[in-house]
Amino acid sequence: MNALIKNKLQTIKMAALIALCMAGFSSCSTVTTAEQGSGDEEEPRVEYTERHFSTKLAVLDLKQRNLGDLLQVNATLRNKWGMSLRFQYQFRFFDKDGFPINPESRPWTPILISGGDEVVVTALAPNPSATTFKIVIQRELVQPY
Amino acid sequence: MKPTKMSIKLIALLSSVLLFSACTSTKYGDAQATETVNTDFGSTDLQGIATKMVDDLLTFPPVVQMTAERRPVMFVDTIKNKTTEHIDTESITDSIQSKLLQSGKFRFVDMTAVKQVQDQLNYQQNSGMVDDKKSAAIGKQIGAEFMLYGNLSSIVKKDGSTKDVYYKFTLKMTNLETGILEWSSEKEIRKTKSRGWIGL
Repeated sequence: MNALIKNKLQTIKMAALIALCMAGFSSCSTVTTAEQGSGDEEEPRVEYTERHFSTKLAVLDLKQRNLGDLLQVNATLRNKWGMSLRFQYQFRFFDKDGFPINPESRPWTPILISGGDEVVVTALAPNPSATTFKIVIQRELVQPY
Repeated sequence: MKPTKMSIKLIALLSSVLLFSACTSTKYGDAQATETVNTDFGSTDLQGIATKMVDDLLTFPPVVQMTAERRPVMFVDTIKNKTTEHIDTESITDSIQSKLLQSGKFRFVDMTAVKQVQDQLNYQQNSGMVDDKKSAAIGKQIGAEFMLYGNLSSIVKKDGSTKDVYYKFTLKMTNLETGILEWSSEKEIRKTKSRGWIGL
């Protein structure tokens, strides 16, 4: 009888451990959502580096236009939480073949949005070869020293 | 067997060596990552300023119109550092210049290399070592049409355990021939540092 209970307990412990591990791994995974502009692009244009961020922050609108031959983009971000949200974003631009253009040209930009507020962020492509873009959102990671 | 005084000292010494060696490490990080070591001017401020200035200049309608037809030549003057910190403002203008060059919209004359250019031209023209037909001609350089210059200022306030620093970077573009200020933009940065009640 005791052995049976022990076995059951062990099974429960193992299941809990697996569930915990899965939760741990899933929270570290990258989430990409195809939020969505004109519709003919296949690549997702919004990337959250942590899954839980997509529940706190919404990218409401992504727009793009050409200023001369440079691609200008903007994104409307809304804090879905009641509290202020501190995070950082980075726009990344790609040429017609999908190659990143000068990936180090735009830094991570820290931003603070009050609870329920909306903010529009904009960026300009580094050069005329940019045809597509992506916005990457993550919590404010500070460079360790 | 009782541990001797000597062996205890040796163990203590080894432990402290191990402890300290474990505390020091050097690693490469992301140069674009946010840096908030303190309220002093840092890499995130420099990158943010350069990106904002370039975006503003290249999206200014008269500049969009002008650069659609040609690549104007620009000269970068110094940025006056009006803050109390020692800040390498040339590093800011270098970043702005690089981004503008890479956009393909502007060209630059580099006044920091005038002496070297002069020496090289003299060598090509007067040393007798370079084929006349393949040497660069003197007096053919193109003068700058616009000049970029500006200021970096700050206001610092302290109150007990709180320190607030406000930076303002202003960049201007003037037409050298007409003296008209064609474009100007500002970037403001606020950094606040508060100490915890235990002073950490």
